[in-house]
Amino acid sequence: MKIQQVLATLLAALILAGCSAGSSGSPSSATQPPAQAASQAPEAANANTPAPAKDIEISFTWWGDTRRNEIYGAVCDDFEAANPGIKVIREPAAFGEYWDKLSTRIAGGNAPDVMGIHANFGSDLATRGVLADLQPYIDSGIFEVDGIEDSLIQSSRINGLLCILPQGITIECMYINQTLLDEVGIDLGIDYKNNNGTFTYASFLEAAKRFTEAAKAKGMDGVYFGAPGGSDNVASLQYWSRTTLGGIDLYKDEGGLGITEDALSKWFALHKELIDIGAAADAATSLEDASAPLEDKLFTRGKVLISSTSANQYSQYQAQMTDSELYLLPFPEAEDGSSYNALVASHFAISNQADDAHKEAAAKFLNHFFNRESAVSIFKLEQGVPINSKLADIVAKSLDPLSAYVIGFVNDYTAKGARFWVYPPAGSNEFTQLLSTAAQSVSYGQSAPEEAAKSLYSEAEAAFAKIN
Amino acid sequence: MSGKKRAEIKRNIAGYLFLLPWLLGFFGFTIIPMIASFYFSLTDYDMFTPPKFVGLGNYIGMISDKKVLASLSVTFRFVLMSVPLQLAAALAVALALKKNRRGVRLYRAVYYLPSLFGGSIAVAILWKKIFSQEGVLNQILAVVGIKGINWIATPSTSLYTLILLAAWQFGSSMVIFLASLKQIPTDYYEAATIDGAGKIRQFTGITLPLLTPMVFFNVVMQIINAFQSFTPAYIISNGTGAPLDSTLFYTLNLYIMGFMRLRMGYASALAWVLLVIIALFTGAIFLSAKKWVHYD
Amino acid sequence: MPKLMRNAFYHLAIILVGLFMLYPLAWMVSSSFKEAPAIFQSVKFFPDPAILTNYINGWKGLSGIGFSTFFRNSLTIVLFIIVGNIASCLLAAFAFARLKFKAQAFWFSMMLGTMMLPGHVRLIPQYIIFNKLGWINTYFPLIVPSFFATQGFFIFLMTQFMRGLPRELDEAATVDGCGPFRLFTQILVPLSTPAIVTTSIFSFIWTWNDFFSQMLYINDLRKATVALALRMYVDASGSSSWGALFAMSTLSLLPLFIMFIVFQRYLIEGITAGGIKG
Repeated sequence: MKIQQVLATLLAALILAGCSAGSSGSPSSATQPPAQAASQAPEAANANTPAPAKDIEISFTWWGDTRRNEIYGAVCDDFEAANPGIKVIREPAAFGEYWDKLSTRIAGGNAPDVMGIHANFGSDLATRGVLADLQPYIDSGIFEVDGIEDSLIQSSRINGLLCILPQGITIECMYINQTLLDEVGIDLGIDYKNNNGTFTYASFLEAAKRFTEAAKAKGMDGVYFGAPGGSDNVASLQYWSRTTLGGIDLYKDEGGLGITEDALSKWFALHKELIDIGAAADAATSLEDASAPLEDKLFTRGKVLISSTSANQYSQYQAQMTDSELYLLPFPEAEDGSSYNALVASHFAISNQADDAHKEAAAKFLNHFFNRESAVSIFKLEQGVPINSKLADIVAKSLDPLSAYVIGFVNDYTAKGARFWVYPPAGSNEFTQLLSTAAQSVSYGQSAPEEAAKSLYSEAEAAFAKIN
Repeated sequence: MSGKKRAEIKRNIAGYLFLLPWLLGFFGFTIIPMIASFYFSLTDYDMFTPPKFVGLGNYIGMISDKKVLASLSVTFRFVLMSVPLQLAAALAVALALKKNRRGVRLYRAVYYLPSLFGGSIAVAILWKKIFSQEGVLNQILAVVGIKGINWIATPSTSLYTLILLAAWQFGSSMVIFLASLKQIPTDYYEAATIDGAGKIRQFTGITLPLLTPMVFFNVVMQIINAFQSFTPAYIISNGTGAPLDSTLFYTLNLYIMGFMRLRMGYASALAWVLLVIIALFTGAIFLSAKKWVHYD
Repeated sequence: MPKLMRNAFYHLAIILVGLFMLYPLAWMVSSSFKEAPAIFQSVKFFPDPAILTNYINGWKGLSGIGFSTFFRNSLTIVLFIIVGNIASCLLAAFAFARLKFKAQAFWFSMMLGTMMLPGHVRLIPQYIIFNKLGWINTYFPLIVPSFFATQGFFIFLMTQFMRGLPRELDEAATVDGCGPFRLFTQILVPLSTPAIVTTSIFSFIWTWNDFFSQMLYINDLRKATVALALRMYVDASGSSSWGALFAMSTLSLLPLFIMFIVFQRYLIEGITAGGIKG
């Protein structure tokens, strides 16, 4: 009796669900997304006219939070309004699994036509022929480059191939909590408030000592000075190697490691010293902090003076830290004052699996995204400063003070000669993993800096050798 | 004896008819991806360019791979500790909540609650809230005057927080025990009571033996699942196995190899070795089952 | 008197341990009524002030698609999968538990074997199959396999259940002239209620929470499920709406909780009512 009741209820619910699913076109219209089903009515009307505009659908995937999804959705709407024949299927994904899904889709022969590409994965995809060559669209004028610095285009090439374009640039930099600094009561003697100057690595260490002693004297427990980026962070290592090794890049142009075992050892030693003197948090605390949400980070909670991330997150931090005054400052510079600040960016690419018509529609979409005022004024600073500098200037005028501060910071240091990243070569993801293991073994006191550097160097060499 | 043969044919037809949906699914959805992954395990495959055949290269490479050794040790410790802990908790709670008393329905739901969370982000945040330096556990310890450590980010303790997480989510095993406890006909107990058997005799004489098929099921399934445990480590260590590879589960290493380091061929080889390991364990349990599992 | 004491002790112990089980849920529910900064920074357990904004904002959903859509989508998938799992796994389990046929042990070990290969290395070939079938961005890759008993867990579960049922039933039925089909529908299925209910509960909860395969096969936000949508509130690369996440997580636990409360009746009372009367 009872089981029959249960089954009957289930069945009724199933039928109901099936009906509603059918009406929304979900499982029943196997190959057609509902967007297409919905657009069939006007299409049928068009069919009466002699030459119906052939609709084309391009799929577009990116990673981001809810706000970004809304911004990008609005850009898509704006594009569709301007290009009646093209529909953009929006496929936002959370960053956590973005890469798993994208690689499975590419391997499965179902790559999205337009995709957001993280710089770390650009080379791995570009060198394997996954991404379409964008040069033809620039040559044919579909993608306009007049508003874009040529150096940005040229430095986006990977092995000569132009297949990813940055939609927004930013600078990886340090954040300083002025309120905390004032509380501890020391002066760093740097005019960062006016985007003028920063530490050297030596003066950073010296300031770290001063700060830590002063904080201790004031009885402030659990307050740290911070570190110039994490020891396991490839970008931080990159700055350090360029600055302290006289401009030597972490990677060789032809692939492989550009720096020596000895340099790696010094890098680890620097961080170990910061921990030892109590200026940086111990290994366990920083590991936890690295994966903590922005809202819960030591820096956000006012426990760390200096933290590092990209400049365009400034507004988000300031929004969480309403009681604190935050400033941006560049990573440490060399003793002779030369700076190796590099721009970082998020990119878009077009899939090589798409046919010519889709590729062309995708190129039009990118052009709209990068070069139309209507689109750029929606985008604002979402993933950095827009690369079309004319439009970026227009956008800058309508920005709130916080965003205006960020754009001023990026522009000032771009003017002072910040270069674009050299793209991490294929295999850099392997290096990221290896660096993280080695850095942890030092910070947890399992290996001395020299030992960790030695094994990291040989493992990295082996990994790069396998790829090239 | 054609009658006997006809009966046998009829039996086979009936058997395969009932098995048909599964057979269709097996050949349609399951076996092809398995065969494909076995083929990948014999190749260099980066997911984006066609696989290149390397024979047993991936399998040989595993022998000298430190990460494989580390992840095996983590996984074995996890399996050996989490499975008994989880099953013991599940059985104890199922026995305690077996009888229909006042409030027992609500209790069952409450004890099942942790399992509703699955491997969501909320769980990851919660676990950190409990076991971090300033977490709930350390606040409690502080009352007793003990200064706690950061349990999740300390290599020697991080795995135990994951074992606790697994044990805490014992709900599914508990439900299975509850269901099979109720499957035991009540007249068995009535008869035993008439015979003058006490509670303990009833438990060892009736409950436990009749429960063995489901104990067996839970042991086998928990072992199969625990060896492949991925989500807890993934959400709590941010997919890295940190600190110092102390939560580098076998499947987490496999995932990093395949999707982060783009060595899907090697990852496939890792997967097939794990299959052999799990099969050996499961096989051993099946062999031992004749001694301790009572049907009917 | 001692019985009263024993009872009090019983309830006290169960409730004390129960608090530990409940703590996370309590924390989540409490957070869902907190203002954004207080979720992480306030030391107070109870929200002060308690606000409803998280629920209101969360229910608005993502990019103009209301959260109710995600609930409906999840529910649709769940119901199909429950029916699929029950129907197909019962058949297979009956074959394994109660019938005798050639190569039975072989197929049974195959069934177990399919559960032993980590899913990550099967993703790509699976994706290719579903892509070839034109099933990407539909619910078919999630639903259809369940009608073909691809979840060995449930087959094995039901098999063990049926093995635990008294053999005399079959013999009695056979003597009465019952064929395997009538034996299945009239005796084994009704007696397997606890296993069926267990399968329903687990199918419901696991499908509801199965983020990974839903993430893989569903691209369109309009088809997104609760598990997918919840993931979208939090982003490692940017700002997160924690308040909305906890509010919607709380809401998304409700169907699971209600389902469990309702169905445990059948789970627990399944066999005592019908009785083994032969």
